[in-house]
Amino acid sequence: MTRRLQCADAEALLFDYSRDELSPLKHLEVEEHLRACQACQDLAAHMKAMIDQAGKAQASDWSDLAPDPLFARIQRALTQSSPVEDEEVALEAMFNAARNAKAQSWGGFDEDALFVRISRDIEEKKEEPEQISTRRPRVWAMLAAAAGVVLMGAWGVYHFDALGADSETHFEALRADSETHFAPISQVEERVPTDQEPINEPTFEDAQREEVASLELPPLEAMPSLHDSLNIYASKNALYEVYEKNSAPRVALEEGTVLVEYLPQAPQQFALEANGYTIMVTGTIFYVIQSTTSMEIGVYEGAVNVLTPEGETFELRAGEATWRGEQRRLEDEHYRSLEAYVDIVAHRRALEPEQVPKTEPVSIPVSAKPRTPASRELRQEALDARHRGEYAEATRLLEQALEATPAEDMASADILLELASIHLRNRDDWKSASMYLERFLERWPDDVAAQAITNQLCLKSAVDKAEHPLCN
Amino acid sequence: MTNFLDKQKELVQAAAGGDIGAFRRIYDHYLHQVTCTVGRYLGPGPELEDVVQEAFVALYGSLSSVSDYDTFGGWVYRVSRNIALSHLRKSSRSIDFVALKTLRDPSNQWENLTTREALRALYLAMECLSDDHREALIMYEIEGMTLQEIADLTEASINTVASRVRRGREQLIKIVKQTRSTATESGELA
Repeated sequence: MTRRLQCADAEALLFDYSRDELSPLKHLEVEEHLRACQACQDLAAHMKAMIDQAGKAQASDWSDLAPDPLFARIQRALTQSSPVEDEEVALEAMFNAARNAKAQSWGGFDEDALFVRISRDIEEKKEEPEQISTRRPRVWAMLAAAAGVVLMGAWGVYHFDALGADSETHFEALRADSETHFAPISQVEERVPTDQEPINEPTFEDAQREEVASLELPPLEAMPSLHDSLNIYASKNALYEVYEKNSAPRVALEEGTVLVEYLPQAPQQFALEANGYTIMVTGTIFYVIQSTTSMEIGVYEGAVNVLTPEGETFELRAGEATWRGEQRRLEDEHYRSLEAYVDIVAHRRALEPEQVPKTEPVSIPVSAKPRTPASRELRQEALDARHRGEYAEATRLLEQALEATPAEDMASADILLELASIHLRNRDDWKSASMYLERFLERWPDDVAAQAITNQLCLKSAVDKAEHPLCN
Repeated sequence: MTNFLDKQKELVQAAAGGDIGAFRRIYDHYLHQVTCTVGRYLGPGPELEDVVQEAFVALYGSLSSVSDYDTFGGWVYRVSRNIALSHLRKSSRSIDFVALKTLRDPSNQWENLTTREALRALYLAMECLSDDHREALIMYEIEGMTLQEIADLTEASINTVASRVRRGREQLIKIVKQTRSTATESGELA
């Protein structure tokens, strides 16, 4: 005789049921419940599918890693003979040294100590503004060999604002690095700003306006790239250069609009480096906005891996953007402007129908947004302030946004998380972060984020050897 | 075409002697396996490539210790698993607020996610579990190890491992259910 199970009882047995680990009687009880309960049936199927998917996932499901560049990195780590070209490479070499030492005597304490020292060095580097300001502010794109590109082409759409008075110096440094030059240097020299010209330091809003304005593309002309896998369309005011390094083509862009159509004939990967960041790409559509004060990377389709000047890596996927290393969702207008670009490129290229890459519909993520206009504006201003590094101002604006948002509105949950994030990540103040997280937990104790937030609180308070009431 | 396995012993010996070309052949053959092994422990993420790199560097450094060439594939698996496990244990887990919003976002129904997105959601949900529960769940459910194998590897009793798997399952079900109910309340779930 089987017992009629309630949902809560059945849920506790769903995993065991899906793995066929229950006794025959229990199995029957769960089966009967599932027959009558669609919600539990869906949950069971979902759990099983999710776990099975993870077990059967292919390498490409886990990572977009490109075999050739990765092997090159491994080789460098093994030989430790890579020339140190700049501080980013030096950091990479330091990491490799730590990794290599670890490989030679796996599990020893010396390697850990070495890594701790390297981490400390990097942390100190982060805290030194002089180091950041001396980083070469060059903007260049690198195309290198990689494998497994499915798309016929990958488009990098780059918008770069005016660089200001010192762009000539940057460009000279950049040219000095290159091995061959194909670029219209005359245009470059004509466009170098003079000392009298005002230095344009665009804000985040300027950049966004520029992005939206990009719906009306400036006239782009096909330019000689002298490379089979590369087609370049450039605006008249574009400052760019194409050259080769290690047999791989590179695009260096300082100003203007350049559309790069990349048609890998062999398995290749495209990478772009900008302001110390390295963006590794495999068959994707993304954009970079670079100015003297800030940089934004956004991904329209596919995914990119970004190596920061600090040697950290993170992945940006379709629908995500980053501003000074902080990840966020792409706004609708970004999608629209990028779609416009893609459309324009498709027409301009006049590809054969079967060659036109299919642009899969992108589901635009909908996050909770403040319903009141004032609150929404405040939140946007706060995000801008955070992007500018003005964390106290961002906190003040978010506090105002919180007050302007109805308590029951889920947007206030997001605002509390943002406030906590600023205090944890930017202000190193876990106690203030804790205050916001506690408010979050009070209001939404059953939220899916609650447990993770509590874990984080406990982690942070443990570092300070403090006892938090939420941590047992 | 020569079967890789036929030449495996020769390649391993050559690579152990410093032949980087031979090591490249080994790398090409085992890259998929190592990536999957590391991925199953750490989930999709930017650090995965670094750990795969570390695994291959470790493999290269230990090639000279290989004596049983017939079970070389198993040895590769064990080395990469140990490295992934080590990273899983020592990684300073810090909340990814952006990823958290993805999980909380009702428009991101798990059913509609791509494989990569679903994996990210699953591993993000598992971030909410304690280290022991997460590790046990990954080994048992995703890696497909037996309780005894996990107990041997983690130096815990088989009952402890079973209890961790059970608790991990319960917590994961709760998190997934919560995500689904959020979506249902928002009218996003069909």
